[in-house]
Amino acid sequence: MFKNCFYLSVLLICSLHTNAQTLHTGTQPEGLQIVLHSQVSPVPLNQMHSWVIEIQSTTDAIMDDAVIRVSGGMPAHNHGLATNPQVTHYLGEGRFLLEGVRFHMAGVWILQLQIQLDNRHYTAQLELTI
Amino acid sequence: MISAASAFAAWQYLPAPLPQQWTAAELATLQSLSLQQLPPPPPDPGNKVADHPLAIEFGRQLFFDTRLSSNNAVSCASCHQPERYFTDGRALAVGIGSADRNSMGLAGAAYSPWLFWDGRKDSLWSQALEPLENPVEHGANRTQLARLVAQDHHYRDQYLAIFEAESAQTVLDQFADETRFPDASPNGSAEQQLAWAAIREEDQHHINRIFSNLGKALAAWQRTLPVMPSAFDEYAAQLTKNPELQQNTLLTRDAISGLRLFMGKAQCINCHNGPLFTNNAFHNTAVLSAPGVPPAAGRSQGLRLAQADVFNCLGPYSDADPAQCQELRFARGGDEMIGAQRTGSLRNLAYTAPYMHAGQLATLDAVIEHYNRARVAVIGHNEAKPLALRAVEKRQLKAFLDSLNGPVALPLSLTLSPTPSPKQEPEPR
Repeated sequence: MFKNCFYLSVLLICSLHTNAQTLHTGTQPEGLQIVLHSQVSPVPLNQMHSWVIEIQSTTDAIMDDAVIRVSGGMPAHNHGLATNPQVTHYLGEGRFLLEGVRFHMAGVWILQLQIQLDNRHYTAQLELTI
Repeated sequence: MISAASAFAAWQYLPAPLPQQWTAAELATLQSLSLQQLPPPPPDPGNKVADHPLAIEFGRQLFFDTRLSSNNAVSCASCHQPERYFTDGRALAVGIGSADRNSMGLAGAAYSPWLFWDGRKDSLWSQALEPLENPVEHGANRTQLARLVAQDHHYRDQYLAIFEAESAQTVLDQFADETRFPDASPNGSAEQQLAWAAIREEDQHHINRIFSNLGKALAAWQRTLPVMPSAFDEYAAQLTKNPELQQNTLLTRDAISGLRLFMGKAQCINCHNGPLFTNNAFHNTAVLSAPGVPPAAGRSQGLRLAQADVFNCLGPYSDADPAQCQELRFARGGDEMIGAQRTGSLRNLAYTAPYMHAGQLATLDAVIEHYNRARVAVIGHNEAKPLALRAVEKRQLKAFLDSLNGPVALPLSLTLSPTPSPKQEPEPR
Protein backbone atom coordinates (compact mmCIF):
# COMPACT_ATOMS: atom_id res chain seq x y z
CA MET A 1 0.00 0.00 0.00
CA PHE A 2 2.74 2.40 1.03
CA LYS A 3 4.76 1.62 -2.06
CA ASN A 4 1.78 2.30 -4.31
CA CYS A 5 1.29 5.66 -2.61
CA PHE A 6 5.00 6.32 -2.92
CA TYR A 7 5.11 5.73 -6.67
CA LEU A 8 1.86 7.64 -7.11
CA SER A 9 3.41 10.59 -5.33
CA VAL A 10 6.49 10.30 -7.53
CA LEU A 11 4.28 10.39 -10.61
CA LEU A 12 2.51 13.43 -9.23
CA ILE A 13 5.82 15.13 -8.52
CA CYS A 14 6.96 14.25 -12.05
CA SER A 15 3.97 15.99 -13.51
CA LEU A 16 4.30 19.01 -11.25
CA HIS A 17 7.99 19.66 -11.78
CA THR A 18 7.79 21.15 -15.20
CA ASN A 19 10.82 23.31 -14.45
CA ALA A 20 12.97 20.34 -13.48
CA GLN A 21 16.35 20.26 -15.19
CA THR A 22 16.33 18.10 -18.29
CA LEU A 23 19.16 16.57 -20.28
CA HIS A 24 18.84 15.27 -23.84
CA THR A 25 21.01 12.93 -25.87
CA GLY A 26 20.92 10.25 -28.53
CA THR A 27 22.22 6.72 -28.30
CA GLN A 28 24.93 4.57 -29.81
CA PRO A 29 23.88 2.93 -32.06
CA GLU A 30 21.32 5.48 -33.18
CA GLY A 31 17.66 4.72 -32.68
CA LEU A 32 16.64 6.15 -29.31
CA GLN A 33 16.35 9.61 -27.86
CA ILE A 34 17.01 9.88 -24.15
CA VAL A 35 15.63 12.65 -21.94
CA LEU A 36 16.51 12.82 -18.28
CA HIS A 37 14.30 14.87 -15.95
CA SER A 38 15.68 15.72 -12.52
CA GLN A 39 12.96 15.56 -9.88
CA VAL A 40 14.62 18.32 -7.87
CA SER A 41 15.50 21.64 -9.39
CA PRO A 42 18.14 22.92 -9.37
CA VAL A 43 20.02 19.63 -9.16
CA PRO A 44 21.16 19.61 -5.55
CA LEU A 45 24.55 18.98 -4.02
CA ASN A 46 24.78 16.32 -1.28
CA GLN A 47 21.13 15.36 -1.44
CA MET A 48 19.67 12.03 -2.48
CA HIS A 49 17.15 12.56 -5.26
CA SER A 50 15.47 10.88 -8.23
CA TRP A 51 15.37 11.38 -11.97
CA VAL A 52 12.95 10.20 -14.62
CA ILE A 53 14.55 8.60 -17.67
CA GLU A 54 12.41 9.03 -20.76
CA ILE A 55 13.15 6.83 -23.77
CA GLN A 56 11.74 7.95 -27.09
CA SER A 57 11.77 5.42 -29.90
CA THR A 58 10.55 5.64 -33.46
CA THR A 59 9.73 1.94 -33.42
CA ASP A 60 7.02 0.11 -31.50
CA ALA A 61 9.46 -1.14 -28.89
CA ILE A 62 7.85 -2.57 -25.76
CA MET A 63 9.30 -0.14 -23.27
CA ASP A 64 8.43 -1.92 -20.04
CA ASP A 65 10.83 -4.68 -21.08
CA ALA A 66 13.76 -2.27 -21.17
CA VAL A 67 16.68 -2.92 -18.84
CA ILE A 68 18.57 0.24 -17.92
CA ARG A 69 21.79 0.50 -15.98
CA VAL A 70 23.25 3.84 -14.89
CA SER A 71 26.85 4.62 -14.01
CA GLY A 72 29.03 7.68 -14.28
CA GLY A 73 31.44 9.87 -12.38
CA MET A 74 33.71 12.90 -12.51
CA PRO A 75 36.41 12.56 -15.15
CA ALA A 76 38.38 15.46 -13.66
CA HIS A 77 38.73 13.64 -10.37
CA ASN A 78 38.94 10.11 -11.72
CA HIS A 79 36.13 8.74 -9.57
CA GLY A 80 32.70 7.30 -10.12
CA LEU A 81 29.30 8.16 -8.73
CA ALA A 82 28.92 8.51 -4.97
CA THR A 83 25.93 6.16 -5.06
CA ASN A 84 24.61 3.23 -7.03
CA PRO A 85 21.44 4.61 -8.64
CA GLN A 86 18.92 2.12 -9.98
CA VAL A 87 15.83 2.13 -12.13
CA THR A 88 13.17 0.94 -9.71
CA HIS A 89 9.87 1.43 -11.50
CA TYR A 90 8.38 1.75 -14.95
CA LEU A 91 6.14 4.82 -14.96
CA GLY A 92 4.56 4.20 -18.39
CA GLU A 93 4.92 5.95 -21.74
CA GLY A 94 8.62 5.17 -21.96
CA ARG A 95 9.41 6.76 -18.60
CA PHE A 96 11.41 5.07 -15.86
CA LEU A 97 12.05 6.15 -12.29
CA LEU A 98 15.75 6.38 -11.43
CA GLU A 99 16.29 6.46 -7.67
CA GLY A 100 19.40 6.95 -5.56
CA VAL A 101 21.28 9.78 -7.27
CA ARG A 102 23.50 12.01 -5.15
CA PHE A 103 26.22 14.35 -6.39
CA HIS A 104 28.71 15.08 -3.65
CA MET A 105 31.08 17.48 -5.44
CA ALA A 106 30.52 20.54 -7.60
CA GLY A 107 31.82 20.30 -11.16
CA VAL A 108 31.26 18.31 -14.33
CA TRP A 109 29.58 14.92 -13.98
CA ILE A 110 29.03 12.25 -16.60
CA LEU A 111 26.03 9.92 -16.54
CA GLN A 112 26.30 6.79 -18.67
CA LEU A 113 23.27 4.69 -19.57
CA GLN A 114 23.29 1.14 -20.84
CA ILE A 115 19.93 0.21 -22.30
CA GLN A 116 18.78 -3.19 -23.42
CA LEU A 117 15.62 -2.97 -25.51
CA ASP A 118 14.14 -5.45 -28.00
CA ASN A 119 17.32 -7.54 -27.83
CA ARG A 120 19.40 -4.53 -28.87
CA HIS A 121 22.02 -2.86 -26.72
CA TYR A 122 22.31 0.93 -26.66
CA THR A 123 24.59 3.28 -24.75
CA ALA A 124 24.11 6.94 -24.01
CA GLN A 125 26.20 9.53 -22.23
CA LEU A 126 25.04 12.78 -20.70
CA GLU A 127 27.00 15.57 -19.06
CA LEU A 128 25.85 17.96 -16.39
CA THR A 129 27.51 20.57 -14.26
CA ILE A 130 26.60 20.87 -10.61
CA MET B 1 72.79 32.57 -7.76
CA ILE B 2 71.89 34.83 -4.87
CA SER B 3 69.38 36.71 -6.96
CA ALA B 4 67.73 33.42 -8.01
CA ALA B 5 67.41 32.43 -4.36
CA SER B 6 65.97 35.84 -3.54
CA ALA B 7 63.47 35.56 -6.36
CA PHE B 8 62.41 32.10 -5.17
CA ALA B 9 62.01 33.36 -1.60
CA ALA B 10 59.97 36.31 -2.82
CA TRP B 11 57.77 34.02 -4.91
CA GLN B 12 57.24 31.74 -1.92
CA TYR B 13 56.41 34.41 0.61
CA LEU B 14 54.94 37.44 -1.17
CA PRO B 15 51.14 37.46 -1.06
CA ALA B 16 49.19 38.03 -4.27
CA PRO B 17 47.11 41.23 -4.26
CA LEU B 18 43.45 40.84 -3.34
CA PRO B 19 40.92 41.78 -6.03
CA GLN B 20 38.68 44.71 -5.20
CA GLN B 21 35.57 42.61 -4.69
CA TRP B 22 34.07 39.15 -5.08
CA THR B 23 32.45 38.13 -8.33
CA ALA B 24 28.80 37.04 -8.28
CA ALA B 25 29.84 33.41 -8.78
CA GLU B 26 32.37 33.61 -5.96
CA LEU B 27 29.78 35.19 -3.68
CA ALA B 28 27.31 32.41 -4.39
CA THR B 29 29.91 29.78 -3.57
CA LEU B 30 30.98 31.65 -0.46
CA GLN B 31 27.41 31.97 0.78
CA SER B 32 26.85 28.24 0.27
CA LEU B 33 29.38 27.72 3.07
CA SER B 34 27.68 30.04 5.52
CA LEU B 35 25.98 28.65 8.58
CA GLN B 36 22.94 30.73 7.62
CA GLN B 37 22.39 28.19 4.83
CA LEU B 38 22.24 25.25 7.23
CA PRO B 39 18.70 23.83 7.35
CA PRO B 40 17.33 21.95 10.38
CA PRO B 41 18.68 18.40 10.65
CA PRO B 42 17.08 16.07 8.11
CA PRO B 43 14.42 13.70 9.46
CA ASP B 44 15.53 10.28 10.60
CA PRO B 45 12.75 7.94 9.50
CA GLY B 46 14.40 5.04 11.32
CA ASN B 47 13.99 6.82 14.66
CA LYS B 48 10.41 7.78 15.46
CA VAL B 49 11.50 9.59 18.64
CA ALA B 50 14.26 11.56 16.89
CA ASP B 51 12.65 14.88 17.86
CA HIS B 52 10.67 13.77 20.92
CA PRO B 53 11.38 16.20 23.81
CA LEU B 54 11.40 13.43 26.44
CA ALA B 55 13.73 11.33 24.30
CA ILE B 56 16.09 14.29 23.94
CA GLU B 57 16.29 14.68 27.73
CA PHE B 58 16.62 10.92 28.28
CA GLY B 59 19.41 10.84 25.71
CA ARG B 60 21.23 13.67 27.45
CA GLN B 61 21.21 11.78 30.72
CA LEU B 62 22.40 8.58 29.07
CA PHE B 63 25.19 10.46 27.28
CA PHE B 64 26.87 11.47 30.54
CA ASP B 65 26.14 8.29 32.51
CA THR B 66 29.23 6.21 33.28
CA ARG B 67 27.04 3.26 34.26
CA LEU B 68 26.78 2.55 30.54
CA SER B 69 30.15 0.81 30.76
CA SER B 70 31.74 -2.32 32.16
CA ASN B 71 33.73 -0.43 34.83
CA ASN B 72 31.31 2.39 35.67
CA ALA B 73 33.93 4.88 34.52
CA VAL B 74 33.25 5.44 30.81
CA SER B 75 30.44 7.51 29.33
CA CYS B 76 29.89 8.84 25.82
CA ALA B 77 31.27 12.14 27.15
CA SER B 78 34.60 10.47 27.96
CA CYS B 79 35.58 10.70 24.28
CA HIS B 80 33.00 13.25 23.13
CA GLN B 81 33.79 16.05 25.56
CA PRO B 82 31.55 19.12 25.18
CA GLU B 83 34.40 21.52 25.96
CA ARG B 84 36.45 20.00 23.12
CA TYR B 85 33.63 20.28 20.62
CA PHE B 86 32.72 16.69 21.44
CA THR B 87 36.15 15.25 20.68
CA ASP B 88 38.87 14.21 23.14
CA GLY B 89 42.15 15.76 22.00
CA ARG B 90 43.70 12.32 21.50
CA ALA B 91 44.93 10.67 18.33
CA LEU B 92 43.06 7.49 19.25
CA ALA B 93 40.04 7.27 21.50
CA VAL B 94 40.56 5.80 24.98
CA GLY B 95 37.80 4.10 26.91
CA ILE B 96 38.21 0.75 28.64
CA GLY B 97 41.19 0.32 26.34
CA SER B 98 42.58 2.13 23.32
CA ALA B 99 40.53 2.24 20.14
CA ASP B 100 42.00 2.35 16.64
CA ARG B 101 40.16 5.47 15.49
CA ASN B 102 40.12 9.17 16.26
CA SER B 103 36.98 10.37 18.08
CA MET B 104 34.74 12.28 15.70
CA GLY B 105 32.89 15.42 16.77
CA LEU B 106 29.14 15.19 17.25
CA ALA B 107 27.85 18.67 16.39
CA GLY B 108 26.44 18.39 12.89
CA ALA B 109 26.59 14.58 12.90
CA ALA B 110 22.81 14.46 12.44
CA TYR B 111 23.31 15.80 8.91
CA SER B 112 25.39 12.86 7.78
CA PRO B 113 23.70 9.85 6.21
CA TRP B 114 26.65 7.71 7.25
CA LEU B 115 28.45 7.54 10.56
CA PHE B 116 31.97 6.58 11.67
CA TRP B 117 35.02 7.25 9.54
CA ASP B 118 34.30 4.23 7.36
CA GLY B 119 30.51 4.69 7.24
CA ARG B 120 29.72 1.37 8.85
CA LYS B 121 26.54 2.81 10.38
CA ASP B 122 23.67 4.38 8.46
CA SER B 123 22.03 6.37 11.27
CA LEU B 124 22.91 8.32 14.36
CA TRP B 125 20.86 5.95 16.54
CA SER B 126 22.57 2.86 15.20
CA GLN B 127 25.99 4.48 15.54
CA ALA B 128 25.34 5.18 19.23
CA LEU B 129 25.00 1.45 19.91
CA GLU B 130 28.37 0.22 18.76
CA PRO B 131 30.67 2.02 21.24
CA LEU B 132 28.47 0.82 24.11
CA GLU B 133 29.45 -2.80 23.40
CA ASN B 134 32.91 -2.24 21.98
CA PRO B 135 35.28 -3.91 24.50
CA VAL B 136 37.82 -1.07 24.23
CA GLU B 137 35.24 1.71 24.50
CA HIS B 138 32.34 1.30 27.00
CA GLY B 139 32.69 -2.49 27.20
CA ALA B 140 29.05 -2.82 28.27
CA ASN B 141 26.60 -5.38 26.97
CA ARG B 142 22.98 -5.04 25.90
CA THR B 143 21.54 -7.17 28.69
CA GLN B 144 23.37 -5.05 31.26
CA LEU B 145 21.93 -1.92 29.67
CA ALA B 146 18.39 -3.34 29.59
CA ARG B 147 18.84 -4.17 33.27
CA LEU B 148 19.95 -0.63 34.06
CA VAL B 149 16.82 0.80 32.48
CA ALA B 150 14.62 -1.75 34.24
CA GLN B 151 16.21 -1.19 37.66
CA ASP B 152 16.65 2.58 37.72
CA HIS B 153 13.23 4.07 38.49
CA HIS B 154 14.13 7.39 36.93
CA TYR B 155 15.24 5.80 33.66
CA ARG B 156 12.43 3.26 33.73
CA ASP B 157 9.74 5.93 33.96
CA GLN B 158 11.27 7.97 31.16
CA TYR B 159 11.70 4.91 28.96
CA LEU B 160 8.08 3.85 29.37
CA ALA B 161 6.86 7.39 28.72
CA ILE B 162 8.84 7.67 25.49
CA PHE B 163 8.62 4.20 23.98
CA GLU B 164 4.96 3.30 24.14
CA ALA B 165 5.56 -0.22 23.02
CA GLU B 166 2.75 -2.64 23.77
CA SER B 167 3.28 -4.21 27.19
CA ALA B 168 6.64 -2.41 27.39
CA GLN B 169 6.39 -2.32 31.16
CA THR B 170 6.03 -6.08 31.58
CA VAL B 171 8.70 -6.71 29.01
CA LEU B 172 11.11 -4.26 30.60
CA ASP B 173 10.62 -5.42 34.18
CA GLN B 174 11.64 -9.02 33.51
CA PHE B 175 15.15 -7.89 32.54
CA ALA B 176 15.75 -6.49 36.03
CA ASP B 177 16.42 -10.09 37.11
CA GLU B 178 20.18 -10.54 36.73
CA THR B 179 19.99 -14.23 37.60
CA ARG B 180 17.64 -14.88 34.72
CA PHE B 181 19.32 -12.49 32.33
CA PRO B 182 23.05 -12.29 33.09
CA ASP B 183 25.47 -10.13 31.09
CA ALA B 184 25.04 -11.23 27.49
CA SER B 185 25.71 -9.96 24.00
CA PRO B 186 26.36 -11.43 20.55
CA ASN B 187 29.37 -9.10 20.39
CA GLY B 188 30.75 -9.56 23.91
CA SER B 189 33.26 -11.88 25.54
CA ALA B 190 33.06 -15.63 24.91
CA GLU B 191 31.11 -15.97 28.15
CA GLN B 192 28.67 -13.22 27.14
CA GLN B 193 28.20 -14.75 23.72
CA LEU B 194 27.36 -18.12 25.32
CA ALA B 195 24.91 -16.40 27.65
CA TRP B 196 23.34 -14.63 24.68
CA ALA B 197 22.94 -17.90 22.78
CA ALA B 198 21.13 -19.34 25.81
CA ILE B 199 18.48 -16.58 25.78
CA ARG B 200 15.25 -17.35 23.96
CA GLU B 201 14.94 -15.70 20.58
CA GLU B 202 11.88 -13.77 21.71
CA ASP B 203 13.75 -12.33 24.69
CA GLN B 204 16.77 -11.54 22.51
CA HIS B 205 14.43 -9.52 20.36
CA HIS B 206 13.06 -7.63 23.38
CA ILE B 207 16.59 -6.89 24.61
CA ASN B 208 17.61 -5.69 21.15
CA ARG B 209 14.54 -3.46 21.10
CA ILE B 210 15.48 -1.85 24.42
CA PHE B 211 19.10 -1.54 23.29
CA SER B 212 18.10 0.12 20.03
CA ASN B 213 15.74 2.47 21.87
CA LEU B 214 18.66 3.68 24.00
CA GLY B 215 20.48 4.50 20.77
CA LYS B 216 17.42 6.37 19.56
CA ALA B 217 17.31 8.50 22.71
CA LEU B 218 21.04 9.21 22.46
CA ALA B 219 20.56 10.21 18.82
CA ALA B 220 17.62 12.46 19.71
CA TRP B 221 19.85 14.44 22.07
CA GLN B 222 22.78 14.57 19.63
CA ARG B 223 20.46 16.02 16.99
CA THR B 224 20.05 19.09 19.19
CA LEU B 225 23.76 19.92 19.48
CA PRO B 226 24.27 23.34 17.93
CA VAL B 227 26.94 24.41 15.48
CA MET B 228 28.05 27.83 16.62
CA PRO B 229 28.76 30.63 14.12
CA SER B 230 32.33 31.68 13.42
CA ALA B 231 34.04 34.84 12.21
CA PHE B 232 33.62 33.53 8.66
CA ASP B 233 29.85 33.29 9.14
CA GLU B 234 29.72 36.89 10.35
CA TYR B 235 31.76 37.93 7.32
CA ALA B 236 29.36 36.04 5.03
CA ALA B 237 26.41 37.74 6.74
CA GLN B 238 27.99 41.16 6.14
CA LEU B 239 28.52 40.27 2.48
CA THR B 240 24.81 39.52 2.21
CA LYS B 241 24.11 43.13 3.15
CA ASN B 242 26.98 44.59 1.16
CA PRO B 243 28.13 42.30 -1.68
CA GLU B 244 30.77 44.81 -2.74
CA LEU B 245 32.60 44.38 0.52
CA GLN B 246 35.93 42.60 0.11
CA GLN B 247 37.91 43.37 3.22
CA ASN B 248 36.78 44.31 6.67
CA THR B 249 37.74 43.87 10.27
CA LEU B 250 36.05 40.49 10.66
CA LEU B 251 38.58 38.58 8.59
CA THR B 252 42.26 39.34 8.07
CA ARG B 253 43.74 39.77 4.60
CA ASP B 254 45.37 36.37 5.04
CA ALA B 255 42.03 34.73 5.92
CA ILE B 256 40.29 36.29 2.91
CA SER B 257 43.13 35.20 0.64
CA GLY B 258 42.85 31.75 2.24
CA LEU B 259 39.12 31.71 1.48
CA ARG B 260 39.92 32.41 -2.17
CA LEU B 261 42.39 29.56 -2.19
CA PHE B 262 39.90 27.29 -0.42
CA MET B 263 37.35 27.86 -3.18
CA GLY B 264 39.94 27.87 -5.96
CA LYS B 265 43.51 26.70 -6.32
CA ALA B 266 43.57 24.55 -3.18
CA GLN B 267 40.37 22.74 -4.22
CA CYS B 268 39.36 22.10 -0.60
CA ILE B 269 35.76 22.94 -1.44
CA ASN B 270 35.48 19.90 -3.70
CA CYS B 271 34.85 17.72 -0.65
CA HIS B 272 34.57 20.25 2.18
CA ASN B 273 31.45 21.89 0.80
CA GLY B 274 28.20 23.14 2.33
CA PRO B 275 27.68 24.95 5.64
CA LEU B 276 29.32 22.15 7.62
CA PHE B 277 32.32 22.06 5.28
CA THR B 278 31.82 18.39 4.49
CA ASN B 279 30.01 16.41 1.83
CA ASN B 280 29.84 13.47 4.27
CA ALA B 281 31.06 11.26 1.42
CA PHE B 282 34.05 8.94 1.28
CA HIS B 283 37.38 9.75 -0.31
CA ASN B 284 40.79 8.16 -0.42
CA THR B 285 43.34 10.93 0.08
CA ALA B 286 46.30 8.65 0.82
CA VAL B 287 46.43 9.30 4.55
CA LEU B 288 49.12 6.98 5.87
CA SER B 289 48.32 4.61 8.69
CA ALA B 290 50.38 4.84 11.87
CA PRO B 291 53.74 2.99 11.74
CA GLY B 292 53.20 -0.74 12.13
CA VAL B 293 49.46 -0.49 11.52
CA PRO B 294 48.08 -1.93 8.26
CA PRO B 295 46.19 0.56 6.06
CA ALA B 296 42.50 0.86 6.87
CA ALA B 297 40.11 -0.69 4.34
CA GLY B 298 37.80 2.28 4.86
CA ARG B 299 34.42 2.53 3.18
CA SER B 300 34.84 -0.67 1.13
CA GLN B 301 34.62 -2.58 4.40
CA GLY B 302 32.36 -0.08 6.18
CA LEU B 303 29.55 -0.50 3.69
CA ARG B 304 29.66 -4.29 3.95
CA LEU B 305 29.33 -3.95 7.73
CA ALA B 306 26.43 -1.51 7.40
CA GLN B 307 24.60 -3.79 4.98
CA ALA B 308 24.95 -6.74 7.37
CA ASP B 309 23.99 -4.74 10.48
CA VAL B 310 20.79 -5.83 12.22
CA PHE B 311 20.43 -2.25 13.42
CA ASN B 312 20.47 -0.67 9.94
CA CYS B 313 17.64 1.25 8.29
CA LEU B 314 16.17 -1.89 6.72
CA GLY B 315 16.46 -3.98 9.89
CA PRO B 316 13.74 -5.02 12.35
CA TYR B 317 14.60 -2.27 14.88
CA SER B 318 14.30 0.58 12.40
CA ASP B 319 11.09 2.59 12.29
CA ALA B 320 11.55 3.36 8.59
CA ASP B 321 9.65 1.97 5.66
CA PRO B 322 12.14 0.30 3.28
CA ALA B 323 11.35 2.91 0.64
CA GLN B 324 12.77 5.53 3.02
CA CYS B 325 16.13 3.76 3.29
CA GLN B 326 17.52 5.26 0.12
CA GLU B 327 21.04 5.78 1.40
CA LEU B 328 21.41 2.12 2.26
CA ARG B 329 19.56 0.77 -0.78
CA PHE B 330 21.59 2.82 -3.23
CA ALA B 331 24.94 2.89 -1.46
CA ARG B 332 28.01 2.34 -3.56
CA GLY B 333 30.87 0.17 -2.39
CA GLY B 334 33.47 -1.81 -4.26
CA ASP B 335 37.13 -1.36 -5.04
CA GLU B 336 36.89 2.39 -5.56
CA MET B 337 36.03 2.76 -1.89
CA ILE B 338 39.17 0.96 -0.69
CA GLY B 339 40.95 3.22 1.77
CA ALA B 340 38.22 5.86 1.53
CA GLN B 341 37.28 7.65 4.76
CA ARG B 342 34.44 10.05 5.47
CA THR B 343 35.16 13.73 4.90
CA GLY B 344 35.44 15.51 8.24
CA SER B 345 33.90 18.90 9.00
CA LEU B 346 36.34 21.83 9.07
CA ARG B 347 34.42 23.79 11.65
CA ASN B 348 36.12 24.29 15.02
CA LEU B 349 39.37 22.60 14.06
CA ALA B 350 41.04 24.44 16.93
CA TYR B 351 39.30 22.03 19.32
CA THR B 352 39.50 18.81 17.35
CA ALA B 353 43.20 18.12 16.77
CA PRO B 354 44.85 15.75 16.00
CA TYR B 355 43.36 15.11 12.59
CA MET B 356 42.43 12.25 10.23
CA HIS B 357 40.86 8.88 10.97
CA ALA B 358 43.56 7.74 13.34
CA GLY B 359 44.82 11.16 14.40
CA GLN B 360 47.88 10.72 12.18
CA LEU B 361 48.41 14.44 11.56
CA ALA B 362 48.98 16.57 14.65
CA THR B 363 48.61 20.06 13.19
CA LEU B 364 46.77 21.94 10.48
CA ASP B 365 50.14 22.74 8.90
CA ALA B 366 50.72 19.00 8.52
CA VAL B 367 47.24 18.52 7.03
CA ILE B 368 47.75 21.32 4.49
CA GLU B 369 51.12 19.90 3.54
CA HIS B 370 49.56 16.45 3.18
CA TYR B 371 47.12 17.75 0.55
CA ASN B 372 49.74 19.97 -1.04
CA ARG B 373 51.92 16.94 -1.79
CA ALA B 374 49.14 14.42 -2.55
CA ARG B 375 51.35 11.37 -2.50
CA VAL B 376 50.51 8.00 -4.04
CA ALA B 377 48.16 5.97 -1.86
CA VAL B 378 49.39 2.77 -0.23
CA ILE B 379 46.05 1.11 -1.01
CA GLY B 380 43.44 2.25 -3.50
CA HIS B 381 44.14 5.48 -5.35
CA ASN B 382 44.54 9.03 -4.10
CA GLU B 383 41.78 11.23 -5.52
CA ALA B 384 43.70 14.39 -4.64
CA LYS B 385 46.35 15.89 -6.88
CA PRO B 386 49.39 18.00 -5.89
CA LEU B 387 48.45 21.65 -5.35
CA ALA B 388 51.81 23.44 -5.65
CA LEU B 389 50.84 25.89 -2.93
CA ARG B 390 53.43 28.53 -2.10
CA ALA B 391 54.52 29.04 1.51
CA VAL B 392 52.42 32.20 1.80
CA GLU B 393 49.39 30.39 0.40
CA LYS B 394 49.65 27.63 2.99
CA ARG B 395 49.76 30.31 5.68
CA GLN B 396 46.71 32.03 4.18
CA LEU B 397 44.78 28.77 3.95
CA LYS B 398 45.46 28.11 7.61
CA ALA B 399 44.31 31.64 8.47
CA PHE B 400 41.00 30.93 6.75
CA LEU B 401 40.58 27.61 8.56
CA ASP B 402 41.21 29.46 11.82
CA SER B 403 38.29 31.76 10.94
CA LEU B 404 35.95 28.74 11.10
CA ASN B 405 36.37 28.41 14.86
CA GLY B 406 33.28 29.42 16.78
CA PRO B 407 32.68 29.69 20.51
CA VAL B 408 32.83 26.29 22.16
CA ALA B 409 30.68 27.43 25.08
CA LEU B 410 27.45 25.50 24.83
CA PRO B 411 24.23 26.08 26.75
CA LEU B 412 24.47 24.83 30.30
CA SER B 413 21.75 22.28 29.62
CA LEU B 414 24.07 20.62 27.13
CA THR B 415 27.07 20.37 29.36
CA LEU B 416 25.55 19.68 32.76
CA SER B 417 26.09 16.04 33.52
CA PRO B 418 23.38 14.58 35.72
CA THR B 419 24.33 12.69 38.85
CA PRO B 420 23.60 9.03 38.17
CA SER B 421 21.07 7.65 40.57
CA PRO B 422 22.16 4.59 42.55
CA LYS B 423 21.23 1.15 41.32
CA GLN B 424 17.70 0.43 42.43
CA GLU B 425 15.37 -2.48 42.39
CA PRO B 426 12.04 -1.85 40.70
CA GLU B 427 9.20 -0.88 42.96
CA PRO B 428 6.55 -3.54 43.44
CA ARG B 429 3.60 -2.82 41.19
